[in-house]
Amino acid sequence: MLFKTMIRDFKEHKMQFISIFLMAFLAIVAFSGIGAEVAGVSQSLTSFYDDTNFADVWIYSDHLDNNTLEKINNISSTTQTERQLTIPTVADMDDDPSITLHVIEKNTISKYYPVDGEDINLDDKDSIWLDKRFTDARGLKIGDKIKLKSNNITIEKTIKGTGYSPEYVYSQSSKSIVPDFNLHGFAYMSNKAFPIDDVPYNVVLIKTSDNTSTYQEKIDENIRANYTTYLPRKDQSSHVQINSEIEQHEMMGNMMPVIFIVVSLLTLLTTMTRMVNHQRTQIGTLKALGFTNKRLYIHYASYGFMLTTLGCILALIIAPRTIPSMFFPSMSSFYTLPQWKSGFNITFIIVSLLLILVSTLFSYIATRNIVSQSPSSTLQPQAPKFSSRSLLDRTTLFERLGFNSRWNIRDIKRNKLRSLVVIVCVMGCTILLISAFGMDDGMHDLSTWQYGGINNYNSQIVLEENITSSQLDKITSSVNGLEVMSKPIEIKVNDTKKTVNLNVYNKSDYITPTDTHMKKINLPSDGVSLTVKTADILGVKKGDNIEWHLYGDDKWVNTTVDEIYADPANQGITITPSKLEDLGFNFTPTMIVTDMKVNDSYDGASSVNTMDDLLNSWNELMDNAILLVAVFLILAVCISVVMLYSLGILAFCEVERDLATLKVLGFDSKSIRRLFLTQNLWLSIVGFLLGIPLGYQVLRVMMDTAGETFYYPINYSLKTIALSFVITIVLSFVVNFLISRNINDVDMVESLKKQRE
Amino acid sequence: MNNFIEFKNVTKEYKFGDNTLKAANNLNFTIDEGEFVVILGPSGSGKSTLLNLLGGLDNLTTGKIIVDNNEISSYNDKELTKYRAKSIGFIFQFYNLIPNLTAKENIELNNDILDRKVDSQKYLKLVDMEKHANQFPSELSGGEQQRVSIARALSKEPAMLLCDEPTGALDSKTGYNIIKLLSDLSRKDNTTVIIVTHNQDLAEIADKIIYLKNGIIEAVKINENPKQIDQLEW
Repeated sequence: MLFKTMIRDFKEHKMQFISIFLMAFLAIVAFSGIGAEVAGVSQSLTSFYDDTNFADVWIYSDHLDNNTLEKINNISSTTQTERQLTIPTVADMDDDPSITLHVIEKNTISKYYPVDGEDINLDDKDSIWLDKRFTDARGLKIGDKIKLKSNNITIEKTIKGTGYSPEYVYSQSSKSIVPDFNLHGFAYMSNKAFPIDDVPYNVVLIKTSDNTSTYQEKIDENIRANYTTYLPRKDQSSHVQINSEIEQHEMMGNMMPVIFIVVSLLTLLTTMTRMVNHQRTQIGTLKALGFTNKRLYIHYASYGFMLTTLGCILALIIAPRTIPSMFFPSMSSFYTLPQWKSGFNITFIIVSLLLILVSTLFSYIATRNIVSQSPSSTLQPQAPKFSSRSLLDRTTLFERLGFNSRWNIRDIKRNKLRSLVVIVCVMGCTILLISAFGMDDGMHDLSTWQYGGINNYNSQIVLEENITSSQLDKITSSVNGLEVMSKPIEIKVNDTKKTVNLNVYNKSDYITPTDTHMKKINLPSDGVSLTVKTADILGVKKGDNIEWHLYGDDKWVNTTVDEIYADPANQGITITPSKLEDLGFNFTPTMIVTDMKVNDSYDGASSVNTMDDLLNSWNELMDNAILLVAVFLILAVCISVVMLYSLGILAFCEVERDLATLKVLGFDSKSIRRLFLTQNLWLSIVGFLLGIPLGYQVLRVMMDTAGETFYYPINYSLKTIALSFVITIVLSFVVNFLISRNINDVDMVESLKKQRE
Repeated sequence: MNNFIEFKNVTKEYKFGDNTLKAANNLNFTIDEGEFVVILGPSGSGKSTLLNLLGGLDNLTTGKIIVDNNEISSYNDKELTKYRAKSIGFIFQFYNLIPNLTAKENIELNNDILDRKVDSQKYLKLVDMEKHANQFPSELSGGEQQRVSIARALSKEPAMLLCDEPTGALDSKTGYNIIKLLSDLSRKDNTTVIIVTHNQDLAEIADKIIYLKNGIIEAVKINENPKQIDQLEW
């Protein structure tokens, strides 16, 4: 029978109980939905790596003869090796797409993963196996021919198959900041198909039983002089990028539910407390009838238990089936995996069980105060709350306040828990709004900062690796451009190593570095400047020393950081050509930037990117972020409306008797309504103000996990704050305005007959 | 059975900060099985305290209460709960029905605390409420609600019925009917009925009247020839 009363209580207080259910549901939807996506992608990635025997280490060298390979194989912890020649090529097609060609001996490590057509045949001298993303984007079919050019070699082969590679889960060309499968790809080909018999292998792929840093020491001992770069898996760019993406999603999936859980528990506590107070004499009656305290505790605790259990079960059924597939379209436009599936993690169940347990506990806590009293006292109505004149009441300021303010101050004091819950709900809403708008702001800022703030050219001419100096001079003078060298380097500070970019160019109007406030600054012409993001990651500041070397060159240099600058998407070091040469390196430009619109093709140039191309790919990236912004906005509005409405109804019920008294005394509905709205407005404003710094904190954590490539400055923006304020306050006002309409319907006689609760 | 209920030097004190209020002060009386007892006194005289102590709703400060040879004043909470569940039928001034259970369900509530199923229909019929079985308390008049409340109390087949101002919230005609119902039960089924009231008229129909004032028993009067309820001028 008690179960029946519970079901009828649910009906009677449906708004509050629906919101408790909904918040628990949303918490587990966010946690298990995003968690299922993270688990699914991680599992797909792991099985992709396992299927293809993804390399643990890559060693780059110019002279990978049999002798060197044998030395590597002789290291006891080397379990498997395979040599490859990896060269950048340009396909003979429109827009000069770049194709990284792997000339392979064995196909045993980081194996090509066939999807369409045949698998790799190492004896086939006429065929090539291509990146499926590239062939799909270009409309190439199996049996088509493709011509690749690299320096002085031209290769023309028939496409025998298309597929994926574990080294290209994420790949990005120099031409755009996001993957554009039209413009770049990879290809695999047997060494027997290579035009030169003695293939100049330049990389060894290794599987090792050691951890990669111990292994590096062994490599150093054995072939120190024979290699230029040691690349462990943890630094491999595709691996780093997908993992930082997974990490970012994981963080989001862990953070968002916290807001819902807090709001859900607080609503549960207020609703249960109020309901139990309301049912005080009913509890007394049940006790008088002979119900044990245990029965009553179980009865009331099962309110929280039932609602959250239902919410959790529904969420666990629905979320892992729906949420991941919302992420996959945007994920697969950046990343390549053989399958996108949703996964499972035992934490979904653990967190659900914890939430159920805590909700049950909260219901119990809300009930304890009344159920533990003696039956005779619970049969009596509760003694009115004790009010006394506090310090605040005695101030002259308080004396001067109008009735409205005094009434509301005292009401908030008497209903601290409810007021606190309203504040926390508004805070949750504000946090989501600030994160959403802040993210949107960041994206726009980045775009104008990157293109317009820092890079002020119209075209970017990408140069071939073996360009002659006369070809270079010719292009530079005919476009009146700036020669830029952009190469990957490895920075070492203490024991931390990071792969970043080295940017070398002279001071010019085409590329103008900026500080963290996006203001243009002059970098020292004879010094080394480091981006703030890299400096933060490595924990260095101006004046500290860093060690670095160019990939493909084993010469390490030790330099002082002379300046820190900020760049949204290009992290690393900037120096001038003369400084580079002072350090003992050659200045070998990789591109020329100019404000001319370049359409012609030049000898020695592999491709041309215009500012429009770059902006387009940027906008694509933005579209994805906007989806996330929209999700946050919808959630924020959901929380606000549901919670404010249910709490508003609660507040209204509590003061209904007082409002009725005021009505009896002759106050008109309008001024009573104002009384009711004032309090909610105050609490909303307090919640909003407290939510701002927290919102920015959440935004910062989110941006920090966006990966090591991007740098988003987080500045308090008036626009973001103002927009969040308007939405929060308007929602709060509208919801409470709707509730306050009930004042017109307050039955003065009936309300006054009610006992004070 | 004689001395079915026995109060020995029962005192109940309430403490409010430094002040102590003696709501029951050294009460001594006995009640026999099947007696129809009325406890009379003005408000604040300790009537409800007495009933609460007897009903196991509250603990006394000193003294002894013996019911059916058991000293209930030494019971712990668990034993008291069992005592209430098995031996006591409460009838309250404001009926105290569970608002979101129907008349029938309010009676069947006892299924949850007794080891047997109660025949709700039988008891509804007894109080002439069988037509209202599926109505919620808010759909019933005060008298009807009190009838359901009596049916709920009776369905436990309790050793005694404790009634706290059972007609206090009812009009005189309905009140009369309720008292008639209670007195019939006492006479026919030999159920001990104890009614707390400030309605002096009820004294004439009771077997025993206990007069209370300021927590002290002023007098215990035994009616050798109680009037029949229909002889009362209500």
